[in-house]
Amino acid sequence: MARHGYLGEFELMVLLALIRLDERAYGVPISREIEKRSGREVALGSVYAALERLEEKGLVTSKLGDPTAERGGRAKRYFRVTNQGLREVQETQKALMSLWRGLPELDGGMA
Amino acid sequence: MSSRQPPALAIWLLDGLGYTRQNAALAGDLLEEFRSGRSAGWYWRQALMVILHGVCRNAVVVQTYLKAMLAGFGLQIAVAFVLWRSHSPHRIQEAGWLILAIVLLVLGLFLVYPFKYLFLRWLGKGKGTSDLSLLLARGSEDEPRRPALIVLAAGHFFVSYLICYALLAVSQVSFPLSELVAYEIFWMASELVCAVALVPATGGAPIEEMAASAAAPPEERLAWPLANELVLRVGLADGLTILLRPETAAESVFVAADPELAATLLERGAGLEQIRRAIRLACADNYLKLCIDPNSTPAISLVELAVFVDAAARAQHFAGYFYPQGRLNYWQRLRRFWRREAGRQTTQNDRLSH
Repeated sequence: MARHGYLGEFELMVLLALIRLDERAYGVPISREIEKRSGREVALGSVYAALERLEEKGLVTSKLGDPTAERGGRAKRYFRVTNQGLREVQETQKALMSLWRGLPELDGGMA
Repeated sequence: MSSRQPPALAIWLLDGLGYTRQNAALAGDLLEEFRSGRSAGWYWRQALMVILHGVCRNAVVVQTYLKAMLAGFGLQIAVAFVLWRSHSPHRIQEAGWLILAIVLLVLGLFLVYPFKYLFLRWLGKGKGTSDLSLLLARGSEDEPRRPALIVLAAGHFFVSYLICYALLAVSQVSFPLSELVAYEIFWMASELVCAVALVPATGGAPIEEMAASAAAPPEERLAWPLANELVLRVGLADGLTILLRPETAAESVFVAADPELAATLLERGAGLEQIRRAIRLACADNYLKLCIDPNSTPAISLVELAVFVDAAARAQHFAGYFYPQGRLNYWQRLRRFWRREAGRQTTQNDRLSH
């Protein structure tokens, strides 16, 4: 059975946003990407909290970029998905797909 | 992109509580988004979420301390209730009660607190701190001194608030149970707020970093570069390396600096002392890089220096939180960090060479 804890919904969204953004992934684009795809406002604090949890689990790594004037001289922290993170996303996708498969139609009318 | 400023109170809260000082990237992201057209309401919502996440994270980091606090409070409430029952209907003579309160005060002020201080110093030896919540946060579950720390934390709250109860009882000869409950709730709530809200852990790394640096054995593999002379090693384009005193370097770097970036550093309140510390931090980092790889490129530009300015601010901020008497020696922390990095890099090199 599972050797590790499951990814939370938001953690999965963050990981998918990281994969989509690739090299450009830092706080602002990650939150924008999730907002764009989910249609909900995302708190940057939540994004960082999720990223820190993922980093502790070894699913993402981060490095500091160059500080810029428009950010008040503060550096960007770029995040990247590790191979372990990619495996975790694939496993979650597989599990979700298998759970979805065979379900009755969900559009409208479901009590 | 505009240069408008977010709500000052929100910045003050985030900065004052330490959440953005510890996570400069998050502060930068908030500012960048705000300047790209977000409203003040958006900034406030974000700030509150940052604080909420910080509090939740702190609660996890200091959970053992919180449990010990609740145990101490529980015992104190039980004892206070028994005392209140015997005191409130005037079963104890007022003089007797006064003597009990004085005994508790003397015990607390002249015996318990000095004992606690000495005991903590002994327990925290080699850990880089004598802060109880930090010692419990960073220690492993099976550490032999851990039970003693938990008992000490619980005992601290038990004694402290029993003294508060005694003072309350002496100042008011008779008071209703509801008043006692209100005081107990207020005391416990203020301690909880202090424990989870006033210690920043949003960034996560510094607490762990401090724990790891404290746990690292003292290693003298490389000489401390700042022991005798404060210099900044600067690599020049022609391959030569020159040494500069920090003050000279500060002047040199700022003359050639991007004025806008320099202005933002000033705006963020990066004082000369912080810049000096940043230069020394950069100096140590450059020295370490050059020791490990003579072909490495040292950090010399103001853009690179800004990263060290943040690091210096974080170290300074932690000094204020965990060492209120100024006992955190910034240089001790820097030195520990330096040794840990040197040890880590040497181990990596050893592994590579094998």
